[in-house]
Amino acid sequence: MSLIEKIKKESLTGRSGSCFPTHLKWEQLKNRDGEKYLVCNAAEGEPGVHKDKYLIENHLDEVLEGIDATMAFLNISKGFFYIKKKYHNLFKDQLEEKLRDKNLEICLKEDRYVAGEETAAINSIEGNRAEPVQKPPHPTTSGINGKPTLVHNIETLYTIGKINNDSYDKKRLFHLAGDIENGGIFFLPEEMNISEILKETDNYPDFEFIAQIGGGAGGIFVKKDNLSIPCQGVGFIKIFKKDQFDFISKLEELSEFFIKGNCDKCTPCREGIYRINEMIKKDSFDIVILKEIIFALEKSSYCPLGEVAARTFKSLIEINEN
Amino acid sequence: MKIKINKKEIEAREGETILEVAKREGIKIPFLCNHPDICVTGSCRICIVEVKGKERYISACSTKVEEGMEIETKTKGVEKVRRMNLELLFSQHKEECDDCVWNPGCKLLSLAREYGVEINRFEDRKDHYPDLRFGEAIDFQSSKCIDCRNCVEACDEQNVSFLKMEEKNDYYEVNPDKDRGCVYCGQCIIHCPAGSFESVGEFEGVAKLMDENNDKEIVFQIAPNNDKEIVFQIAPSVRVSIGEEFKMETGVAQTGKLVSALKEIGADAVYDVSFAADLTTIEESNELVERLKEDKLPLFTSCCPAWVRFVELYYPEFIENIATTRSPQIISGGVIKEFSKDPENTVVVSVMPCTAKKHEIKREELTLKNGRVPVDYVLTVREVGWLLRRKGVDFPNLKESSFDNPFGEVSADAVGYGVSGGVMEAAVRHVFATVEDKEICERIKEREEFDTSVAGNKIRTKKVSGLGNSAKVLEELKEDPHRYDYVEFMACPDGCIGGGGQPIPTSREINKIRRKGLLEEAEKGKHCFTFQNESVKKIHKELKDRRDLFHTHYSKKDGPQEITEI
Repeated sequence: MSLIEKIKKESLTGRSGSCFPTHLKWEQLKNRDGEKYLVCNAAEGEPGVHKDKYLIENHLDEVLEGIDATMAFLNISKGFFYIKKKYHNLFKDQLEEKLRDKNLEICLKEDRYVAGEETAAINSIEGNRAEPVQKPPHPTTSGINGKPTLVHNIETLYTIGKINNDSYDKKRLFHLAGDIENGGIFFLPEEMNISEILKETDNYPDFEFIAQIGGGAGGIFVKKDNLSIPCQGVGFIKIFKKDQFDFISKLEELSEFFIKGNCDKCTPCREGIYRINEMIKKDSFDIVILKEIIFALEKSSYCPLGEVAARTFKSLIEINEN
Repeated sequence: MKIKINKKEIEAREGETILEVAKREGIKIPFLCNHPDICVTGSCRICIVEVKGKERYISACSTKVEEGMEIETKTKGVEKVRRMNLELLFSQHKEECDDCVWNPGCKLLSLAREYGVEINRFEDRKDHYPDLRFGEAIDFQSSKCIDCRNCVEACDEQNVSFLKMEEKNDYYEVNPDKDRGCVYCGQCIIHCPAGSFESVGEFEGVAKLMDENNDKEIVFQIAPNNDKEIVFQIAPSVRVSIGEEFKMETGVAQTGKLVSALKEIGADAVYDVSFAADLTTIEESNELVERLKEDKLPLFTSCCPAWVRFVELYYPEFIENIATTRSPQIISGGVIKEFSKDPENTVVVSVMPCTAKKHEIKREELTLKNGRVPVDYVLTVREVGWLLRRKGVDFPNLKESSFDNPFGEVSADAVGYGVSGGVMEAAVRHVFATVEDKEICERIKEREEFDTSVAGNKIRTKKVSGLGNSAKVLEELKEDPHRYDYVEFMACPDGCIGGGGQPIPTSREINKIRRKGLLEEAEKGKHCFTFQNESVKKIHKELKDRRDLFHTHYSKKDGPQEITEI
């Protein structure tokens, strides 16, 4: 069985949180001739999440195996290792040593949340400001310098390596954080729901709590009676003690994060999030305006970041209202 | 392919955007940041529409049609989001509506009315943002900017890249690059949807000049105690665009009405700068012939001040190639004062399609040897429109008048200075007439390049408009200095008809109509060629030894010190 068939059989989906079927991306690239590029996305923009870091620190060889297998199978001549600056500082020597003989160029990610988005990453690799571009065309059709480009999360490539050497055990990485005893990174079965994950890792709180799942910014907030869902977004669960959870200060913190992390291109994201932050700073919270802004953000932002931010804000309002 | 917009079946072509199809079909989708000559940025999120099968709304300007697409342009949700996005845009845009280049045609305000938007729902985020002045020509009111980046692209397109995006306090915003210089072409003004840019004087300068109590220089208020002679001079292209200021048909010349209108507000005389364009043709043709003899080619035209400044700032190695002949407005002003009975009390006001002309009149080297400045004020077409409206002039219903003499006789070639190719054509025709004693009737200005021979020498002429294109030609000339012998350069796309001082909106599409209109108007005149214009020849003969009236010089310039906060 060829690698693409194995990937299809395993129903592998992107680990960035988008959950896009990996084999479909491959199909688009497979039969294209000429120059093609691979981007290993280790930008890890979600605050508090360290799974990419964990992979670089502990499983770089397996990641590189996945990269090699992907490039060989799809006949890709050049790859880019797109990495958060902070991680590069930490693992510079290891990376340089291991990447030395490979056709893999290290590119540093700007410290901005949106820079992790795939089209923004391509812009950044091309030497431009990391700003998203409207799709279609998708990167698989027109990516770096207009050439077909495959962008995969580092964990996806790590998993491809495992599938390639038949050691894939249907597990993915979960980062557990917050008010729990046994935080850290775990390899757990993909289909596990939040509640099971917490129990399996002996982290299920014995107090009233709120969980944020999928990322420290782009992750949604859920109450403990809604934990029978699988983890959406990146593998990340953070637990907050309910009596210490302040809706308003969370809203402030997140709006500040998105103001710093967005690209300032479109109106709802640039101005809308500013207004959310302003209403808290000026102590003039208005739920009607807040919901109107979130609706505009969700429906009309230029890139998915606005939608992600809106989803987070919406979940926050929901747990606050119920 | 077939698509549906608001349930109506429509035939669309592959590659078209939803907005393009809708425009063609007469279906209104509101938009703000989209300018036909600028790459789509899709940033304002006003032209959003709902597409069946898609959760999120998409921008009609940046999305191409697909087979079977079902589009709804005004669902409740879409209208709700448009309203919020408009309110958010207004929240970063400080309203100064009475003093805006978009008034009375402001898209923001008309959308606000249409959608029942509360324009002050939020406090102005940019209230404390500065007003910046570039040289003495362009003002940037950053508190009005809605971050669409059109100006940056227009400036990049001009190869000037004086405006750039800059990260400041968590925002990525338009700022001037302190290491570059502005050429004052004003393309930022005509590409900005929010009126953030204007030329210096729009419109507070005009208002000040109108003020009766300002007894120092009562320019537009002809009071009994005013002993000044107020003289207006009109650039060739203005006649074909001034009507747009009064919602008259685009591209239809309103020469006679403009003369009447200026007389009505008190002008003592209204002259046609085209007569000085004929003088420019004579002088520049002489330069071409001289340089041909001395083998000092290529020669570049000099009538566009933004182009001249572009060379002075960014291509100083080509300064020697620019004709020393002064621009028509400067020659015109100088000659008018020369012929005036009381030059000290003659005030020359130019009406120009241009913002760089405001800078040009301040150039010290243009002061005449008797200490006079040729031109005292420059008004853009927009400013004259504003002035006439303020004065209550019923422009569309005015009777027509003729330009005043002795400068009223002009050639079609001179009026053609208003379009790209006009100067090249006039000069080449004049050289032929004087050196070879032959008439060239072919419309050279319609050609990009024109090869011919004069006195046994082959010459290759070229027209180019837009500074981006100009830079390309200069790069070609760096490679091969003999590629062209005579090049007409115009800073603005399509020449003066697309100038930064023209009515808003201005676009390449509108320029085409203006071009056609101007050339039709030009041909209505008595003469086709400069050499047929006896009155200009007479004036030239009389003054030809006055080098200070006709020629100037240039020097390398630095940009950085030209930004001031106002």
